[in-house]
Amino acid sequence: MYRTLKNTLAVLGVTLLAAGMVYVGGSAMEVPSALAESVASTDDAALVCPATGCTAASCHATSGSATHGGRTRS
Amino acid sequence: MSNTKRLGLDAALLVLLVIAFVPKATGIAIHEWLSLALAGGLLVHMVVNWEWVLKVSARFFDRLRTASRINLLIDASTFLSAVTVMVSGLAISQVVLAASGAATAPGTTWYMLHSLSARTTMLLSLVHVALHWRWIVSTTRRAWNGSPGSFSTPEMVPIRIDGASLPGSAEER
Repeated sequence: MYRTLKNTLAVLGVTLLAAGMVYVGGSAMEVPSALAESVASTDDAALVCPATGCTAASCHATSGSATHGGRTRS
Repeated sequence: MSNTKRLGLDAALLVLLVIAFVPKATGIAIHEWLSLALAGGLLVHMVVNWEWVLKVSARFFDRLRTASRINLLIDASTFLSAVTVMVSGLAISQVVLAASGAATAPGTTWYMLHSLSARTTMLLSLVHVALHWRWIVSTTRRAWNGSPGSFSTPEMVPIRIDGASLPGSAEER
C-alpha cells in the first residue's frame, strides 16, 4: 500500500513536471507567432521581412521578398 | 496487480487511444472526455510499471540488456509525447475547459503541437506494443488457460546480473 502510494506520487510529480515544461515550451513558441500576427494586422505588414521577421524601417525587405536584403527604404 | 488485469488495462488503453486518435469519428466532446479518461488510465499504467522504470533507469549505463534500454527510451519518448498531446489538447480544448469555466486562448502553435504529438504518440504506442508482444501473447495464453500469472512480467525484471537472469525474465522463459 505504501509502495503504491509512493509510486503514485512519483508518477504524478514527474507528469506535472513534464506537463509544466511542455506548457512553458509551447507558450514560448506561441509568442513569436502571436507577435507576427499582431504585426501583420497593422498597415506596416508589407514591411515585415518574411525570412527574419524584421520590421525595422531601415530595412527594405517586403513581405513579397524571400530574403532579407537590409537595404535602406527608397 | 495480476498480469491478466494489467493486460486488460493495457488493451483498454490501446482501444481508447485508437478511438481518441480519430476525433472526427466521435465528435469533439467525446474526443475530449475520452482523452481525459485515457490520461487517467495512462497514469495508472505508469504507476503499475513505475518500479520497472526505476530499476532500468538505475542500471541504464550498467549491465543491462539492450532491449531493456530501447524499451525505456521508447517508453520515455511515448510519455513525453503523450504529455504533449494532453497539454496541447487542454490548450485548444473547446469542451473540457469550458465545462470547468476556464478560458482558452489557443494559437496555431498549440494546434500544430497537438496534431504532431498525437501522431507521434500513436506511432510510439504501436512500437511499445510491438516491443511487448511476447509478454502480451504469453499473458493472453495464460489468461485463456485460467492461470492468473505472477506479479513479475518479462519486461518487469529484465536486468541481467553477472550473465544470469533474474526470475521471471525473458531469458528464463
